[in-house]
Amino acid sequence: MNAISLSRDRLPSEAINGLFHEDRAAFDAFTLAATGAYYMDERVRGLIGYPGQESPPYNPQATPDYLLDGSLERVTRRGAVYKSTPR
Amino acid sequence: MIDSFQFYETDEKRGFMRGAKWGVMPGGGPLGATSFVGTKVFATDSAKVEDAWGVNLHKLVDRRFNHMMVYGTIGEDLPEESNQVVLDPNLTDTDDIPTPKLRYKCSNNSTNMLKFHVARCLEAVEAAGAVETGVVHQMPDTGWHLLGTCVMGEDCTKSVVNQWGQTHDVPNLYIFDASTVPTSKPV
Repeated sequence: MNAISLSRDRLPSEAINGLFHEDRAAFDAFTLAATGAYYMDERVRGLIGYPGQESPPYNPQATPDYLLDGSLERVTRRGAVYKSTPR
Repeated sequence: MIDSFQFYETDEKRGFMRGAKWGVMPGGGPLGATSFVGTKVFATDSAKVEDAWGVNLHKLVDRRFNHMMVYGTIGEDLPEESNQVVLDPNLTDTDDIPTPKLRYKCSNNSTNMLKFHVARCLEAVEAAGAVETGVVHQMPDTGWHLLGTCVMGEDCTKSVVNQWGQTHDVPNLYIFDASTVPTSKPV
C-alpha cells in the first residue's frame, strides 16, 4: 500500500525510480513479479526461443556426453594431480 | 553440473592451504539474466531504473540469456576453533530451550583462497571469450556446509566421538553424520 501511495500523482519514470530509492523491498517485489509474469507469457517465450522449464528424460546409468565428446581430453593428458592418502 | 578439482590440492605457492572444488552450471532462464544469483541489476544508488528497464531489459536479456554460465567454487575452511556453534544466551525456542548460535568468520586463509579462485575463474571465462563477467562473493542464501562440531578423535578432551562414532561422554550415543569430520573439504 505504501508503494501505491508513493507512486500516486507521479509520472511513471518518477514513480518507479522513487520506489527504488524509497522502498527497495517493494521495488524488488514489484519488478520481480512484473518480469516473471512477462517471461511466463507464451508469446514472449516464443519470441526469445525459451520454452520454459522442461523435464527431459534422464538416465542415470547412461554415460554423460562430456565423457565421450573429447571435453576431458586435456584433463586426461594432464594426468592425476591429487596427493595420495598417506599410508 | 560438471565439477573440477584442478585447484583442489594444497599448493603453498598460492598463499593459502587447501583448495576448492569448481562446479560449472548453466545460467538459467531469462529471469535469471536480470537478477542473477544474489546480485541485482540496480546495483548503485545513482543508477536509474530505465538503465535496465524497458528496451534496455530486452537488450540485457538478449545479450545474456542462453549465453550465460556460472562457476561456483566451494572452498575448504580450515578447522578454526574460533568458528563455533554455541547456545544463544538470549534467544529461546517455544519450549524455552536456548537456540543454536553460529559463530563464523572468514579466515585469512579462506579469504586468500577465494581471491585466488575468483581470479582463476575470471581467467577461464575470459579465455573462453566472455564479454561480460560478474563476481558474486559469499552468499548467505547458499550457506555453508558446517562440519566438525562433533569432531572424531581418540582424545576425549579434544573430540566428541571415537572412531566408531560413539560419543566419549554419553554411553550408547552414536553420531553418524558429517559433524564428526574435522574439516569440510570442498563438499
